[in-house]
Amino acid sequence: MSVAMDLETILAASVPLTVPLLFAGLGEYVAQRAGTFNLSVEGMMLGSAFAAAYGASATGSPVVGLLCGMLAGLAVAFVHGNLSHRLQLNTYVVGLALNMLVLGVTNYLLSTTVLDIPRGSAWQVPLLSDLPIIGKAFFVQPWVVYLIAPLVLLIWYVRRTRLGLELRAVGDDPGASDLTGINVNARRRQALLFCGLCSGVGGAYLSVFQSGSFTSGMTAGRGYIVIAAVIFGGWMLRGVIGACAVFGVAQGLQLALPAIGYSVSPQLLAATPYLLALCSLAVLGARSKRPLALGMPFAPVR
Amino acid sequence: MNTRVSEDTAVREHPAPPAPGGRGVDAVVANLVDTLRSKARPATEQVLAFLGFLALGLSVGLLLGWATGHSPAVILSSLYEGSLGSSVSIAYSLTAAAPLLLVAVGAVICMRAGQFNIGQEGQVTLGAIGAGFVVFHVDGPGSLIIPLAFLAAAVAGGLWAMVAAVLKFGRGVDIVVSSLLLVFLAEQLLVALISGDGPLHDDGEGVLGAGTASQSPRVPADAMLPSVNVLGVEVPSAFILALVAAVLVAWFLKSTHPGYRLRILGQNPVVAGTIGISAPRLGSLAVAASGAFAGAAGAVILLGQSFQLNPGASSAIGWSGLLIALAARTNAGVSVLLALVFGAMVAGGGLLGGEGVPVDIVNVITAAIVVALLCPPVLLAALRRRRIRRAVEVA
Repeated sequence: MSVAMDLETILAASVPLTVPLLFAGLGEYVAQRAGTFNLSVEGMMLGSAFAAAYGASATGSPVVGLLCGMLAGLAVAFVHGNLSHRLQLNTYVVGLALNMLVLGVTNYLLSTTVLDIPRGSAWQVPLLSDLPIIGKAFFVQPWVVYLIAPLVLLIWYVRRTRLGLELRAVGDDPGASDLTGINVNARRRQALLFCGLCSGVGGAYLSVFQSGSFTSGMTAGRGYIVIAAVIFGGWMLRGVIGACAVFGVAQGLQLALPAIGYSVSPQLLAATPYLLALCSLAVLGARSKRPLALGMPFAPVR
Repeated sequence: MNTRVSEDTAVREHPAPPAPGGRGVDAVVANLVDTLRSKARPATEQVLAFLGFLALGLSVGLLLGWATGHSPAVILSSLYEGSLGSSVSIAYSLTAAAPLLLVAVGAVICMRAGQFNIGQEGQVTLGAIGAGFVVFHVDGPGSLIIPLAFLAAAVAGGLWAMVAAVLKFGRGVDIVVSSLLLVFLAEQLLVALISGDGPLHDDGEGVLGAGTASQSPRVPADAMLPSVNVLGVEVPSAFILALVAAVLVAWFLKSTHPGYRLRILGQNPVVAGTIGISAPRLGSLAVAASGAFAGAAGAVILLGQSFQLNPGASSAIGWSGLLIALAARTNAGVSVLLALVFGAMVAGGGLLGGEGVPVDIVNVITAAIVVALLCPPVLLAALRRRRIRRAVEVA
């Protein structure tokens, strides 16, 4: 076996595992920069995976499934945002409780419905898909995958606008933001809603476009991986994208390495990204770009 | 920068009247003492709100059941039968509540000290690993093995939590972040230890043949946690342990000097530093203590419930325990109540399955209850504000 073929196998295994992390990771990045330590991203992904599966199976259309998934992500984000950035409830409690709630609701509904999910078909990008090694892995994918590019561009662009500045400001210094007339909690809710939307796409990809099925608790901690990726990425856009890729490849290697004849402890592979994240945090220490008011509620003085 | 923001919000949350005399730190200390003392609120109002929202949370779950064609009466009665209906089911509820309460009590300690350790799930896993090493590798009578296993579990959980504390006080890494990352490392560590050549791996029957499954041997019968017969109910000793721990922690935080210093550290780290409380020392101790309690919960799970280590041995007990502590607003007494509610739900869910109702409705009900329980303080605060406004208007 040639190195090129091995690389191709690894990429083919890694890309589908990276995609849901990327979608949710981009959303979580925005939410965290705005100051919400959003634990409910797991619930958003799981809920949207189910909603997408349900929608797609009811209508026979993957597009409707995707829309249902995004709606479900929005719904979880809406509840989270209003509880923690309107009623000032502790965002960690709300996040954990929502994860539990969504796990319960999806499992419950799963046992009362029969799903027949139409899988979204793969799109072949002309020319690019003929590239050696990376062609198949990157350019023969369900069309949802290509939404990542405009999404990244959007976030990159918004960072350079007033809205982006405000979003980061409410995450770093809500008090000062409030004084300059920014509605801190509204901005935080909006960031959360955006996170819900993105996680919704990620969840829909998992159930409708990648596996074509929904199983109980199918996100299997991906939401927490996403949070780890945002941390590992140092709360920077390119860092988060890179970190999602690292986590995705680490998962992909667990599948691909046995297939190409290497045996590495799968636990070590799975643990490596977390270890890397911890080490990079330890090296960076207090110099990391953590949003200063991350996870802190803000009650405006009236 | 960070501390400035938190101090800011802490002051803002308690707009107490300006303290008489004194300025700067003195005034803040006086202010702090006032808020620490004025925790007592009209008790009946609180209990009523608690019960009201408990019912609200329950009805959300029942509504879901009703909407999918299951009679709420059946759900309620099987929940009741499974959790409180007989002495057996009561014992089952208490068994389920015990590790949750231990985790929650630990979480209360570190939250009160202002150390936001959310890695209980990983610390529970480490506790189970520590207990596993003792149970599977030390020969001896149960009376020796059980305390030793608890000790090992507490040390393992405490050390795992200390990693996060060291990173925080040594390198300034946010403890929320590091303790969360440690959860996933713990998970992988457990699987590595119980599979393949791992020291806790069992060569016995696996699904794919002998020695293939990731699992540990089973806990020998004399190392299983005993139970105590109280009024006809076989109360698991783990629950008694957890209850004693909760009472001790509540007393420690309320009535001892170290507990008082711990609360000051949590309320206002700047003041704590000024009056000579060492945040690194006291903070790390609080984090280690919370890890030790979570570790003990891991031992309880291994020796009292699962009797075997599997991947995911902690079965989300850490997350639920953390949830209990936070939903109880870091109050040890309320944590006991909530842990009992959670335990009852787990036990009641067992019986629901037999009625043809999907067990997962229990998760829905529990989560709805938690969300609902978070609301009373908000509501009570609004009520209080209104009352004050009325009083001002009358005057």
